[in-house]
Amino acid sequence: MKEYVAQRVLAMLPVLLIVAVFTFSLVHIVPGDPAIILAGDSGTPEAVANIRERMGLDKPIYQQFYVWLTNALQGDLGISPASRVPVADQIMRRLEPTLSIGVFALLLSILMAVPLGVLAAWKQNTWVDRLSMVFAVLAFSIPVFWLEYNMIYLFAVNLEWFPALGYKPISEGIGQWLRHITLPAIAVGIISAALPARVTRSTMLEILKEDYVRTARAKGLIERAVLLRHALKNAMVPILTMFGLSLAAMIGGLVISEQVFAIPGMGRLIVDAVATRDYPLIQGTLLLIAVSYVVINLLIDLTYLYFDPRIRY
Amino acid sequence: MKWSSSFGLRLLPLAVLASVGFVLACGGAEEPAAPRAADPAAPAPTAASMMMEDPAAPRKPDQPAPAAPAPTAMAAMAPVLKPTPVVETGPIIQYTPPDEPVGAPKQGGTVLWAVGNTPSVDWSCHTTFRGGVSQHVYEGFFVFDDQRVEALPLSLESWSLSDDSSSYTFTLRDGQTFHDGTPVESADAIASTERWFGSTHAIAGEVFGLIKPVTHEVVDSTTYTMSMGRPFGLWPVYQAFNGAWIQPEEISNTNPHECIDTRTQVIGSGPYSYIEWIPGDRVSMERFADYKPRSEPANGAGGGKIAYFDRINAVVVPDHSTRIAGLKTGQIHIVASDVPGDFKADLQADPDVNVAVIGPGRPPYLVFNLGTKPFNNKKARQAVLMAADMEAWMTAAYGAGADWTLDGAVFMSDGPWATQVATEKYYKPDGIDLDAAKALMAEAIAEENYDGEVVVLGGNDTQFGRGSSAFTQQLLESLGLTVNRPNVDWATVIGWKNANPEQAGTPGVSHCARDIKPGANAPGDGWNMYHTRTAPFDPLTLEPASINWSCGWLVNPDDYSIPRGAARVEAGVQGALQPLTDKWLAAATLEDARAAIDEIQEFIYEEVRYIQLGATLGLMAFRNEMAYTPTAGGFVLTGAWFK
Repeated sequence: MKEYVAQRVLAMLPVLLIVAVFTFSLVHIVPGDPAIILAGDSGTPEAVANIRERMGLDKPIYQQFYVWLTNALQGDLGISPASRVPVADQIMRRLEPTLSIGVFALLLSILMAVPLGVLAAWKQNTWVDRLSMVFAVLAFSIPVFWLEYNMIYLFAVNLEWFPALGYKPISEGIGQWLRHITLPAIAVGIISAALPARVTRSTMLEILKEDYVRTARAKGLIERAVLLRHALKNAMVPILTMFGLSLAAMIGGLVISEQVFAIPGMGRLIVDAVATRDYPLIQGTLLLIAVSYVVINLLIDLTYLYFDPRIRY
Repeated sequence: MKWSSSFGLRLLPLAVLASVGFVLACGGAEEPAAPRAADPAAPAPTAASMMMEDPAAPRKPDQPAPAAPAPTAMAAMAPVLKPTPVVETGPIIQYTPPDEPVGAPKQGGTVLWAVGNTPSVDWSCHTTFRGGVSQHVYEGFFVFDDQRVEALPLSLESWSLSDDSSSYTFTLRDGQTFHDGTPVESADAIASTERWFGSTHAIAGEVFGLIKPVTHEVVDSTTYTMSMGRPFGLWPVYQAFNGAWIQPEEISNTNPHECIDTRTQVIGSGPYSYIEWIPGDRVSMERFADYKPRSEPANGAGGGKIAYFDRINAVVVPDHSTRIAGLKTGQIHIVASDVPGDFKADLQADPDVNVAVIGPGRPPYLVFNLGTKPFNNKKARQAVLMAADMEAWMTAAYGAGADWTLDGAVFMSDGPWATQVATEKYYKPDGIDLDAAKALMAEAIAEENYDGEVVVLGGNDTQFGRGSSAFTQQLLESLGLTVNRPNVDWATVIGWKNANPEQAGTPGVSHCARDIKPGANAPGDGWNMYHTRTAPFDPLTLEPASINWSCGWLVNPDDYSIPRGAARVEAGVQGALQPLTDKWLAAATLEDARAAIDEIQEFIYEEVRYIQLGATLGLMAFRNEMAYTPTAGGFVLTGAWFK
C-alpha cells in the first residue's frame, strides 16, 4: 500500500512536467501578443517593444520556459505585469472563495444526487423514479447562469434573503460567509447533481439485481441495510469518481457562477488573465488546476480501497 | 501677465496658428532671435534646470542638466491664441434630481461603486487610467468644469502664459501633502509632467512632439516654469483631457513604461488615499484627513473637492445584470457608467434609484487598413460610407433600447470642437443609395484588380464587437464583396491588427500586414477593417490616433514604412492631415479655429479613413440614499454624501 502511494506520487512527476510543457506552450500558441494588448489599441511600436522587453518576451521561448519552470519549482509563479502582484499571492487570495463554493456545492450535490439515485433505483418505474429523473434531466439541461439569474431575482432582489453579489471571507464571520456562498453553491450543486444522480440510479439498478443483494434480503435484513450497506457501498466506486472529477472541475470551472455573482475566485481570475493575456497568471492558474486534477485523482483511487476491499494495489 | 482660467479660455482666440504662419513668413530660423519676454510677475529662476529630450529615459539625479536650447525664431513669434473650444454648448446631460431635500452634508460611510472590470490604478502605464480611481487618489494639474468647456486649475494656485505663449509659470497650492505626509513641491510636479511625456498615452507623445524641447525650471518649492520649443496655448485643455497626475518625484522618475508596484507606490495627494487593489475584486480608498480642498465651490471634476465618504470601494462586478441587482438591493450604491440601455426603464421605475444620461458621447468606429486592397482605393471606402444606414448600424451594435445618438460630427456634436459640416451629405441615418455605392465599389475593385476576401475584425466577446461587425459583413456583402469575419475576442483583434511577422521587431515601424492570406484565420494573415471604440477625438490627437489605428494615415498610402509614435515625431513625418491641424493650432481668432475645424471634418469625410457610426452616452444609476449630482466634467465621488 505505502509502496503503491509512493509509486503513484513518483508517477505524478512526469505527468506534471508534461502538464507544465503543455501549459506553457498553450499560452504561447493562443493568438494575441500580451505586449500589444497592454500597450492598447493605439499603442506605439516603442511602447510595445518596451513592454516586451520588460516581460522577457524578446527571449527565445525555451529560455522563457526554463526560467518559468525553475522559478515555479521554487513556488515563484512570476509577477503579473499589470499589477506587479505575485501570481502565487493572487491565486492564494482567489482559492478561498472558489473552494468554499466548490466544497459546499459538492456537499449539496452529494446530498441531492445519492438519495435521489438510490430512491429512483429502489422505486424503479414508479412516480418517485420518474420525478427523480425529471429533476436530473432538468438540472442537466438548464444553463447554470439562467438558474442563477432567477435565484438572484427571487431570493436576493424580491425576498432579500441573500445578497445578490460578492463574497465575504470566513474570517469576517461564518454567518456572512454562508450567506454569500449559499446561492451560488445551491445553483452549482443542483447542476452538478444531475449526472451523479443518474449514475447512482443505473449503478444501483445493476447492483440490486446481484446475487448478494438477493441473499441479503433472503436472510431477512431490513431494506435500509440492504440498500445502504450492501448495495450503495458497492455502487460507490463510479459515483465517487464522478464527484472527484466534479470537485477538480470546480476549482477552475466556476467561471460562470463567479462572473454572475461577482465572486473574486479562480474562475474569474483565469478569465481576466486570458482577456489581458497575462501570461504568468494564465500559466500559474492552469498549472494549479492541472495539479489539482492529478492530486484529486490520486485521492479518489485511494478511497476505492475503503469502499471496495477487493481492490488491491 | 497673469491669466485667470476663465479669462484665458474665453479670450484665447489669438494664439497658436499665427505663430506657425509667422515663422514661415519670416523665414524661420533666419529671423534674428529676440530675447524672451520676461514675466515680471515671476521670480527669477534659481534652482536646477531640466530639459526634457527623451522622456522615456529615467533621469539620474547626478546627471548634468543638458544645455539650454539655442535661441530660435520662436521668441519672435506672435503670441498664439489659446484656442478656446469653438462651441459653447456643453455635453448632453439628462437628470432630474429627486424632489425631497437632501439635507446638510455629513461625513461617514463606505460607498460601494460597481465597476465592470478591474480599474487600473497606475495612470502612466495603462491607457484607460483617467477617471475613476485616479480622480480620487491623485490631484491633477487641470480638470474640466461641469460643461467640459473650461479647464480649471486643480493642484495649481495660479498659472500664467508668457506673452509669446511659449512659457508657462505654475504655482502649486500651498499646504498640499502626499498621502505619505511629504509636501507636494515643484520637483514632484515637474517629474510627474515628465513621466506623462514618456508614458504610453498617444496624447502625451503628441503634445511632447509638438512642443519639445521642454525645459522646466524650479523657482521655489511651489513655483516652477515650463518653457516650450514653440508657442502652445492649449496646455491646460490637454491636461484636463488626459493629463498628468502628481506623484512623488522618486516614483515619477521610474521607467514610465513599467507599471508601478501597486502595493507600495500608489501615492497621490488627492482627497482619498489608496488602501489596496485586489485585481478582479476591488480597489479601496479612504478619506485623506490632511487634504485641503480648494476654496471655490465644486465644479465638474474640479473646484473644492470635499470628501464626505469615509471610504470608497470600487467593486468589480463584471456582469451587467448582477450590477443592477446589487444596485436594487443596496449592495451597490452607484454604477457610474456602462449601465445597459435595456435596464433604463426598469431602473427609472425603481423609487430607490436615480438614473442619469451623461455625455460626452463615446463614438464607435469602423477603421480601414489603408494598405490592403481594395480599401487602399478611396472609392471603395467611400462606397461603404455611401451604403451605410447609420441608424441600423448603431442598432445592430448597441440594441434598440440603448442610449446612443446618431452623431456624425468628427469631434462630437456635444464636444468643444463640434461642427456639422459635411455630415448632412455623408452621414446618413437613412436614404442610402445602394446602387450608386455598388457602382462605386465595382469601380474600385476593377481599378485594384481585386477578387479576394475582405477580412473584417470585431471582438466577439462584446455586443458592440459582435453586432457591429455582423452588420458590416452584411453591408459589404450587399456591395458584392466576399467577407471573412473570424470569430475572435477583442484581445486577439488587437494582436491581429498589429501582427506582421515580416516587420515584427523593426523599431518604430507599424507592424500591420499588407497582404491578405486567402482564408485568413490567424494574426499575421492580414485584415481589411476592424471595429473599435474610443474617447472622442480632438483636433490634435485625430491624426496620430488614426495612424496607429489604420496602419497609416499617409501622404502616400503605399509607403508602409512610416514610423509611428515617438519615432514618427522624431523623423518629422507628417500625415496628410497635419497642415490642417497646424492651421487649427495657429488660429488667432475663434472664426479661424472654426474654419480649420470645418476643413478637417470635410477632409475626414472625403477621405473616409474610418467611419464614425454614431455616439453612445453614459448611463449612470445610483441609490437614493446618496446625495449626489451627476456632472459631465468627469466622475468623482467628492461632494457626495449619504443622506
